[in-house]
Amino acid sequence: MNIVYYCYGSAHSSVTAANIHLGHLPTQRRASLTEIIHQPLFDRAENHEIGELRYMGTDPWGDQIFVIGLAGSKLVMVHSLQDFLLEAGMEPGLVRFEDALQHAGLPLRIGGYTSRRLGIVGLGRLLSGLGVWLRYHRFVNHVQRVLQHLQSNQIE
Amino acid sequence: MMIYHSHEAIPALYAAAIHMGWIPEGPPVDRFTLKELYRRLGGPEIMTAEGLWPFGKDPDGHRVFAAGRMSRPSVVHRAFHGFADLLGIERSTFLLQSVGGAVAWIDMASSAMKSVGLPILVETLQIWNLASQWPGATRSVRIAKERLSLLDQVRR
Repeated sequence: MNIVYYCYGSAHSSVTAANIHLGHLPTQRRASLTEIIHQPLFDRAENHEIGELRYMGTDPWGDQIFVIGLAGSKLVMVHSLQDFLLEAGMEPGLVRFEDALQHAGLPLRIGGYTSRRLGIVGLGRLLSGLGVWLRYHRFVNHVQRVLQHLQSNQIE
Repeated sequence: MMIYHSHEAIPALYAAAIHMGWIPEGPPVDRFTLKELYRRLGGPEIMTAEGLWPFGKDPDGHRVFAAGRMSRPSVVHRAFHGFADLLGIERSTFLLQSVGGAVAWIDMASSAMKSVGLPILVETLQIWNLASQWPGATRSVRIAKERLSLLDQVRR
């Protein structure tokens, strides 16, 4: 299966969720601010990369993990993409979309904007890292639900 | 597949309707025809529907769809092409065409009317929005049909 974590710009929320899923960030404890800021691809995506599907890795169960930024209204785009895949003859359930942006609080959003849009990377990255740190448990819970669902499907 | 997309769905819906011959290209049609089109497109649900709206097959056998994207055209193009490449969907089997902007304030106003429970005003505003789409939609359909024709030639 292909798991796609999405957010606004594929720089923070989706990347964090994907890295938790792949084991690059811990689930048994809260990751430190340093670990969050230095995780693969955190606060790296440029504006022109919004919309690009980026491969993050393959989990131990063989699922391919991706991130994508969908800007504006993510749900609208996700529905269109799901319909497109069905109309193109793809089996339903081949791609699973997971909204990572729902866990982003104000510090993360402000930090992301500061770094990616205003170009004040130092401050923005720190603030967005702090935003992830403050809500880390939400990201972990989300990913764990995804993993439980995947594992129960495999047992069936 | 021919997919017309616009920021809010109305311009794309109008373009798809022109493509299918439901309404003529060019200057705005009479109010009666517009009302008919509005009903055929789903009436007030135009604003809240998501995903790809199917319009059926055109005379050349292309399946025609319309979608709102709430995002930039480049995001749509990157996302659709990214998933197509991932899943082995040939890019020549679908065409994406951006349609010029809706009149945003009309959309916002009709959202406001809907939330305060004034359906008559919602319909009036949305039909007005629909009527204003003909220049951008006509242009987009002409471009799309040329591109489709070229694509068909290449595929033969």
